[in-house]
Amino acid sequence: MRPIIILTIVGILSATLLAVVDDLTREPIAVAKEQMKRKAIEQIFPFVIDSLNTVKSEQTTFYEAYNKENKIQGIAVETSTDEGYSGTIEILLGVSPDQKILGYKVLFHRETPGLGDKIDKSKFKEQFKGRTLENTNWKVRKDGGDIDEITAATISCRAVADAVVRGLEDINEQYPKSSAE
Amino acid sequence: MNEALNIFTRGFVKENPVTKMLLGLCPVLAVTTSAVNGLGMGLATTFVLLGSNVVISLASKAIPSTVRIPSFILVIATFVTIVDLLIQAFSPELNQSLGIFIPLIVVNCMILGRAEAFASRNRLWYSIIDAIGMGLGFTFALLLLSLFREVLGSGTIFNIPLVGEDANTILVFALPPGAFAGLGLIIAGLNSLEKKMGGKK
Amino acid sequence: MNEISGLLLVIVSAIFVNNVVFARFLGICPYLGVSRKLDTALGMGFAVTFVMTIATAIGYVLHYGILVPFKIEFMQTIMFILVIASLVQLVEIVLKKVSKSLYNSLGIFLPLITTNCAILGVALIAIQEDYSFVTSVVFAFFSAMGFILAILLFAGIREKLEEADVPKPFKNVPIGFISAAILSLAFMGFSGLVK
Repeated sequence: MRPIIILTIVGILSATLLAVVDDLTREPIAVAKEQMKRKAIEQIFPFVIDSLNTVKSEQTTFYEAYNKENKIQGIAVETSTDEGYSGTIEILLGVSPDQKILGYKVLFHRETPGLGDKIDKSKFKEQFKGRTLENTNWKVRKDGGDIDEITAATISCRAVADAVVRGLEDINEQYPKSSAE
Repeated sequence: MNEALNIFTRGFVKENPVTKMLLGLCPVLAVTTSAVNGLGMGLATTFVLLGSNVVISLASKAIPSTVRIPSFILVIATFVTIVDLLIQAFSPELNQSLGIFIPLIVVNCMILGRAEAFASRNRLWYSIIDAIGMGLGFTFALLLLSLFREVLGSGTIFNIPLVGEDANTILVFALPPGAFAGLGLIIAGLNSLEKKMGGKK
Repeated sequence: MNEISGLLLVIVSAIFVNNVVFARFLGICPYLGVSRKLDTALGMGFAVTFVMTIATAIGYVLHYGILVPFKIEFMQTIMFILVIASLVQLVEIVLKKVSKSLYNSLGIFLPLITTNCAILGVALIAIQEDYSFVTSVVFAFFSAMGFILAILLFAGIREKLEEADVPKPFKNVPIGFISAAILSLAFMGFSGLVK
């Protein structure tokens, strides 16, 4: 009997200790996650963000960035595609209030290091600035579109274009264009 | 005191858990893509090792031998979960890059090995020194391999770029094959270094 | 149909593209430890397959049946390692009673399996990837097949290496790692095969 009692005591002690630690860290973990999101959003917007407002829709999450005068400066949206070379690519896309792209950040990908992972390098990202759903043929050059692909990483580039279009469409749905005009 | 010093230093070279004992290799190979990751994993493991060595050294007499291993595993898993929660709270970036290898510290054979072979048979004071020595030896090996891989593979050191963004680096060292090759080269290097030093004596 | 092709992708991915040893770095200790001889490597492989598949199934049930409803996900690590440890003990007891010969050939590997990070790793990955129950079990079984493939390949290479003239500092372990690097390089050729 003694071994079982002792093992039970060890189990109860460790469970209690963990419950306490979990309780203490629950809030810091939530805060840390929030801050990481905020950092990513700050990286895609070229201006200083005063406050952020999170809007959840059925499919995705939008982040409205306001300046000090409480005027909306940009909208960020989480978007993704399954068309990557090795599966899912998740992107945080930022646009101005008139829905021109300000920039994006790759949040998650499994593309080939050295080839496909260049989709997160500024050299490739630069060309997206100022583009909108209407003013661009959202295909890579190889397929007759406007997006310059990276040599040997065409599939990854197609996937990024796909994710960006999805993001733009989501934004257009949530914030119909007429309000911006 | 001499005894303590001996226990402390052997973890670095003579009985280094990675290069000599070949223990806990999975995290060594998996997370050493950058020095920050290597250092983070090393310190997290050291913390768990220290915690479990202290508790087991204090409690080993009360634990009957039939449930010794399950109890040790419970103690280790508790400390691993604490580390996991702390990293999530205070360094979400590290949490993201180490990922599943934080909970996997539980099955790092080095920790159970030290608990079983050392902490359960020695006084508290020695167990603490043993944990710190072995932990830092483990961290040292991780840091060595991750510096090697980060500099060659990504062209950065502690995430500070050494070359331009467009420069071609020896990518293979950032990829899985580079982990195996890097560790092989480091162990071979240490072997020949040891032989040379031994020859002089 | 869609489900079947989905499972097929998981299978190819588990064996080749994301091989537990070469791409995920799980189970390295037994990979180096028991791969000196082909038949011991096989024995270890079967023991791992058995425990990995069942542990993942039980882990899945416990995770979604107890941890999630009661919001105690932080107990995941402890729960899974206890499942694995008790499973290994159970297998040992049952094998001893049922088949003495199987026990004699697998018995020595069983205690080693508790600290085989591939088992805990695969069980955790199945949860992390949000696999369904069936997918999790299939994933676990074929990850184990990937493990067997890795240790068999390596055991074959090692038997040849014994006779090779290796520079002194590289003898034994270092040359093993270098060979593993080349194998891992070969396995990278599978990337992109599965989305």
